[in-house]
Amino acid sequence: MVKARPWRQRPARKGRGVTSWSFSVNFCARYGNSMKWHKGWKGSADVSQVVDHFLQPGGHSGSFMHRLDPRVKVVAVVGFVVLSTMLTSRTGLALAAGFLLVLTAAARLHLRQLAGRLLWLLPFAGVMILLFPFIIPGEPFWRWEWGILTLTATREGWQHALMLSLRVFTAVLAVNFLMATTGLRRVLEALSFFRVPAVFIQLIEFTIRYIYVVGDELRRMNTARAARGFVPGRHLFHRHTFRTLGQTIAVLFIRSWERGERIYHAMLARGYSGENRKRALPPPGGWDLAWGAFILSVAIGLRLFELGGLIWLLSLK
Amino acid sequence: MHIPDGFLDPKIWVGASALSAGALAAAVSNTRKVLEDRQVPALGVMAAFIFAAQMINFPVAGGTSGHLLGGALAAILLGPWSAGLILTTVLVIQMLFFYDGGLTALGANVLNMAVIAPWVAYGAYRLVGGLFKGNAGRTVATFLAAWLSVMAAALACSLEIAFSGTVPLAVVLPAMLGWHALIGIGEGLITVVVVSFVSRLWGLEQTGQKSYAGGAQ
Repeated sequence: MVKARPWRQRPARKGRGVTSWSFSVNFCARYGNSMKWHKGWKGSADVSQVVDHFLQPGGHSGSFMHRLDPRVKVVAVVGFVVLSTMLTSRTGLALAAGFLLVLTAAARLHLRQLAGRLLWLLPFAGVMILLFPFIIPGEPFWRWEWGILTLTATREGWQHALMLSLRVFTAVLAVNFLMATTGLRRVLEALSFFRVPAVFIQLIEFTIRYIYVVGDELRRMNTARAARGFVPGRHLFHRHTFRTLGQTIAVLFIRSWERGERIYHAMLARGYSGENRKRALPPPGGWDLAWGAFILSVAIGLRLFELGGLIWLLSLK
Repeated sequence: MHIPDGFLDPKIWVGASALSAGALAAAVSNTRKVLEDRQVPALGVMAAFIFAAQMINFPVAGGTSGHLLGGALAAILLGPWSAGLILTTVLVIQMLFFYDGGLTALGANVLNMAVIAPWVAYGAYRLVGGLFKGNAGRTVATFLAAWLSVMAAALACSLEIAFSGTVPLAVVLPAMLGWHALIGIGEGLITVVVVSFVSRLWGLEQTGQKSYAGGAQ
């Protein structure tokens, strides 16, 4: 005799259930509008579009930025991010971001696509700017008293938040520039030149390849679960929800595991020996090095400008 | 919990990157002993699995939701060494493709989520699982391992941010730990279901026997 299960009888909830509500507090719009997959079970697998976008270099592949040596670009972009995230002035950071926007435009990347991908920064920056004035001590510019409760917003707080947002914005532009003009394959070639262990390079390649497969599997399972009338609970103590989600992940694990073994055996059968054929990159030309040096020198210049500006200000006092 | 660029002081991220690099070097040499290089495709599929599993949201309270981190899951089912490699791969892909976590903060993110989380989970799992035998013991051990792994990662993340002077410790610590104490419950519940399901299916006496890395032996 099967016991009556309350969730079977429950009518499907209309409107904003947890499933349809795409906002998750800890990672608010984690993958932005480019990744609807993440937002509940019925989203489409737009993750593959994002991955596609970077597997091959985007934009007009004819631009000279695309043809720069990947090693030079990796070093230049990493150096730029390291130096520019150490900047503390809003002017310096805005100049760094502006320079990267110019580079992005010079590489003739699709700016509209970039803008869409940058949208996720807005809620993040907004939350910081709303929150930080209340948690960073400093000069108060706004005060609100209600009984014993006093809220004080500080100027330092929102300036700090603005600076952090600009840093994140700059870094995102830099990584986007690198990935969109280089493509994953060439970035990995560069990393392997820099002695990143081969196991990581191969792992990243295989993972990217199977994200599609495993993601499709998950999407099918989500559809099937929805078709069986699954309505997730709204809190942590809804046993049925967690059992169902746990089983989904467990089955996905088993299927991925078995798929991994099948793939491995199929590759062995075709003569896979674990060695990756490393294509030796030609040495970077003078033009490549000059561009790398230019990108780096802009970052160094901004950093020096900031330090120098500080000294100049101090000498005025 | 992914720290973006610009939130960490150079001293902190350089230190964290050095620690992560050491841990990963150990992981590479340890997995190589048991795992032949050839089995990398299978590990890649498992990394894709973790990536997909992190997409599944679970309800927390009041309409908010959290998602699995997978550190404990990977550590218990695949051993902590392979878990470190897999989670690092996932973090690198998230950083390059989705800007989830910064370039300079990658070392810190790897330290929190690919080194500390699986090792805390593994340690707790072995310790508690050794104390209480049987199925119930394993359930308790799995739950605690998952909860502690999330809390340890959140603690490390808050300390890194606070010592960089980005947000005061008194603010970031309660916020991160409070929220992740709830997320950890969800992580624990799901990890318990997955581990018991998988071990029933594999008919394992001891989880980790099938481990690619043999880390759980």
